[in-house]
Amino acid sequence: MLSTRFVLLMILLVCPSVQAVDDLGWDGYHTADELRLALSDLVHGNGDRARLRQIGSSTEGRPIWAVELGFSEDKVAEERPALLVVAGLEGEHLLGTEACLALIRRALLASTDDSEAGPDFEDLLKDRTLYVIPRAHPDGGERMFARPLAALYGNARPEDEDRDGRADEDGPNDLDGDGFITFMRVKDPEGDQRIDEDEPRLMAKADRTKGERAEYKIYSEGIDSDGDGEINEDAAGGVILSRNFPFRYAMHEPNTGAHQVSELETRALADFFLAHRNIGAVLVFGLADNLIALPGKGKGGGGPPLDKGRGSTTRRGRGRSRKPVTSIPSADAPTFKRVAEAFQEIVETKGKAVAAEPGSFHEWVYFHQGVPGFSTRIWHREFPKKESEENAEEGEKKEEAEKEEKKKEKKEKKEEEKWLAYSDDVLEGRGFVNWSTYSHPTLGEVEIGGFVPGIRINPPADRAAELVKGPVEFVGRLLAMLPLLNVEASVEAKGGGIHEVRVRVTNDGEFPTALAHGVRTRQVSPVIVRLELESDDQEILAGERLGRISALEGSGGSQEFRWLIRGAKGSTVSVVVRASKAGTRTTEILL
Amino acid sequence: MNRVISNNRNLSRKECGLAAVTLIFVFLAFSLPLALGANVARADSPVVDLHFDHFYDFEELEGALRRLAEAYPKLLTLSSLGKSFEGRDMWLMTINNPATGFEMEKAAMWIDGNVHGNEVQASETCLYTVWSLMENYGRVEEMTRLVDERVFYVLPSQNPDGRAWWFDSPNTSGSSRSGKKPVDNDGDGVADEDGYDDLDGDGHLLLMRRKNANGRWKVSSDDPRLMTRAASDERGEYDLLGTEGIDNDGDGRINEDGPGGYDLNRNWPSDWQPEYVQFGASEYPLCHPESRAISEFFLAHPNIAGVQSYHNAGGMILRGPGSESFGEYPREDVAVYDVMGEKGEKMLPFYRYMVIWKDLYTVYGGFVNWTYEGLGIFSFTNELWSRRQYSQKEQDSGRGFFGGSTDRLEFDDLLEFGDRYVEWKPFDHPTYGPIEIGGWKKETGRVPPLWMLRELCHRNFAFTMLHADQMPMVEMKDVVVEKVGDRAFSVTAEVENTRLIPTISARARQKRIGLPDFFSIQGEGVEILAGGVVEDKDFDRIRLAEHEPARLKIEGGIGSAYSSRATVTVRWFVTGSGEFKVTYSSQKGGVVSGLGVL
Repeated sequence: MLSTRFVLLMILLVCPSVQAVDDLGWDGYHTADELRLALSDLVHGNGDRARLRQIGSSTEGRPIWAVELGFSEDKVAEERPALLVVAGLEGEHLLGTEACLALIRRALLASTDDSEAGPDFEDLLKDRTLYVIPRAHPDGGERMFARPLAALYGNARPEDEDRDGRADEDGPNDLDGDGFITFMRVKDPEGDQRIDEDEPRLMAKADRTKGERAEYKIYSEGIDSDGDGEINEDAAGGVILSRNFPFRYAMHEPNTGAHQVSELETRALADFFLAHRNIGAVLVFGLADNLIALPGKGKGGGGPPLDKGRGSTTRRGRGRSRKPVTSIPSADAPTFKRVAEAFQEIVETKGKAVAAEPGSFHEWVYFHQGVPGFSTRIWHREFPKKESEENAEEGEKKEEAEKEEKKKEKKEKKEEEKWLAYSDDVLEGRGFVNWSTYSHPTLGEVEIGGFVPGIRINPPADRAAELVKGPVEFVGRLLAMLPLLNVEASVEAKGGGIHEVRVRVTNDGEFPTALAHGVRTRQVSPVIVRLELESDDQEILAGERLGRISALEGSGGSQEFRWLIRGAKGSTVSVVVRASKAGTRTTEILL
Repeated sequence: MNRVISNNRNLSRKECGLAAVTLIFVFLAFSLPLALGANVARADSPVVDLHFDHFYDFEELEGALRRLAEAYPKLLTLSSLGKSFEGRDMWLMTINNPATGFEMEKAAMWIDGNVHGNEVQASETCLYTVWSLMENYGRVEEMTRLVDERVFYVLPSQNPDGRAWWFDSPNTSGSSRSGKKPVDNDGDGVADEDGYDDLDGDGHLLLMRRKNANGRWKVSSDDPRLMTRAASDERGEYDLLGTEGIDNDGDGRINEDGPGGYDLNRNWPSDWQPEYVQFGASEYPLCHPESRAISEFFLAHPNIAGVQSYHNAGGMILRGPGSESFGEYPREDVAVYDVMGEKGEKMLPFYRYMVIWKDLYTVYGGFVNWTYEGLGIFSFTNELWSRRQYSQKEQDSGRGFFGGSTDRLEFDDLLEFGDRYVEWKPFDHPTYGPIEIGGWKKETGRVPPLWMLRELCHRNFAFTMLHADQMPMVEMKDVVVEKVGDRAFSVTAEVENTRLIPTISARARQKRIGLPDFFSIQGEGVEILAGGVVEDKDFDRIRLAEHEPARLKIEGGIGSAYSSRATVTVRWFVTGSGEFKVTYSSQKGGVVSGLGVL
């Protein structure tokens, strides 16, 4: 009896609801369960250095984890400068989670094993805190392991996309049963697509003015499940979480949510960030990329645009209002530039900058919270070059000389060709489903095929270890850049029981204690310098009870405070210097 | 084919009322007498003995709502939307007559107040609304009809913590505006550590002044109770030192970080801007438990078709936009707003119909901005109480929304028997030394005198009922069957919106907010061959639906009763036999059905 039960249990265990995937080479990526185990393994036995906690739950009820790393017992984590690393807010980006796991492993290993080259996390994390949220959208991550796999990346909140009073009633269907939601091409006189003459697996838009005849319409793979004449117009879910934050939030646009920070996942992340005022920089592993190219470079590329003027106020009617800042003010541009340069020095990956979507997390933390926010995709299809790709790149060089109008269209096509070459050469053809005929219930004879979802987002998992090395090292570099307070005090007896106390507050980090936009938004508090007397016999004769510095520049920016104090020789006073992003220092001064 | 077309279309309750009462008798004749039988009271001896020459603190308000809910169990439901930051219930009274239809199938009027804790009379106005509708149900025909036709969601206080704070603590007229979540206003890493202090313990937060031969203030020659600036060639005799308080945290500043310090009415998602652009906005929209709970209720109740959010003061009927950069609302919607706003100016003497950013000041992320701009609901904010009501004159000498000191003193002397002003008294301040404390009590300026409170409640209640009455209401005009072949028929059905407000606002149409209206047909023995909207009745121009002809999408809804879009006509081509039912369903205009037979 017992053994039967055991066997049943074993069967249940080895047949999880999600399928194992080896066809795309993704089986090395961590499922939700594997992630939980990996995190608790890493944290286990490192209780004094790492803490694992749940910061929220996803729409489908999965835990959202955060790991806090810091190697000093005498300092409170919240009083040390901190970096927040977030991955998997775009759940489909599995690679980011691997980077987080590698980062945690590297940070913890480095403290026991000196043989690793690169940043000294042991040293860095003595004075600093590292928060890692390895998968902010666990439902989305989990969906990448389930089949059929569709390019649907929102969260699990039902949404009535076609406004017919029914939510999620017409999603895609895996008609050919291959486990992937690809595309259907069907001959249709009203279509605008044609088969690419150079590469018959690819479709291209027909330009009738150039004598190109359109013959096809393209649909995503599926049927009209609700009989309203539309195919796949109301799929399951959801809100795209990287469009749900308040900066440049696109209200009333599809899949952005009912309002800003409306979702369990985005609220957990926003609240975690807001509860940790020591976070002085944010790094996102996700689909946007403002590190691989310098900000402000390229059209709509780069990171956030650089400001050309100054914000201003308007006054008309009775309404007086300040204008919100929507591009990086020139005072902060060097910081962004410096970080991007540091990234490019360390990470060899080449690629193009990817602009953030309206409502992204890393732009919110900068534009509304005044904390620099960075994002990298980690991987941009930089595989060992095959011959076909080299040729293609040469072609690209020639093309750049060609006229501007042709450029974009060709580039898009080229991009498709490159991905096809990648699928053929690297994935051995598994990234593309070859067109095959299918008898569709309403469209008649169709062909089903096209790119497999997600292959442009994640490389095969066996590549992850090598790819995340650079980003992990870069995290060390970013930690080293955080502002860091240093306080020096001196006393001079003036006679008659009067002492002059001088305190110099210095920022030894590379970032300023507050970016210009942090000061402007008032979200980064000033450095507070408070002199505390130890006894009633002491008195401040001159000097501020509470000094404030709105920002100290990085790399040694400093300011001095002076007090005249009456007090007995040999008695002590103390100076507490508190900077939300640069730590807290208490210095005892002997009179 | 007999079409009844009303040719006298003025905005009046009575006319709409007749049509609607007819409708109710046609569809719901069984239920009304039952409802009318209960609790018929004399206007001057109410069933629930509430007084409107009284300000209700949080517990009293809670008690009054409970008493009403117990007295009128058939029509009232008291529920809590959630808890405030300090754990008080957000009490919501639902007025709905279940005998006249499902709650979600009737247009609902949302009424709230007191989002700013110090704007207290907003809650009494809400309470008066519930009380008045109940006491007059079955007695006054129009109020009975309103209750039967509509649903009312009444939230007397959006900010119960702020309300409790105003009542329970010494305050100025504005010091309890915020919610009570601690906020570090001065950026020193500590929250709420240096607020006002009632130094002399008299229960009031007043002003501090100090004798100083080089001060720039002096006692007014008009009245020794008033302070004025010394002329530029004149010596003053006082410093004004602000509101009563000390440097609680020893940082060399006084009163720089009091309780809370944010604005719950800048925390809404539409046209929201962060703190550095809009003071009080907080970290992100709906981050506070109060605003979050209310928003969740709205998102779950698309039947809400009208919003009134009471504030004080200044005597205004406000609509958005809140900022110039938002741009003006669609012309069609502005026309609807204007009709109600202008009517309101008549009902509310000394109130003015105004646009928030243009006539008052810029507001990003305001509540009524979200309910209109985000949700497409026609929304007003009435600023209850105008200083002009004291003098009953359009002009008085005072400046600003709350009146000048001279007027205040005059009315304090003539009408309040000196009850609002506290004479200056000496006090020994720990930092400033010998000072004097005196000035106006918190009731001054923003809150009406008790003897005028009931009138304020009633007039604003009446305006909001006008608004509620003009929420869309669909009515089946006729269902006509004609033979078009051997076994084929056409079924033509027409629905009219009988009220000023369209079933879908132009804003909602533009932004595709909420569901479209649906016109559907069903019958057991009836097969639908085709169907569509009749775009031109004279020429039988029909836009045939491509799919689902039995459930036609009416994307734009039905326009205002006073527009060319006041009706929607559809025609189905059907075969079969027997009874069928046509149904028009609108999220904000209600659900109405008609029967026919082939």
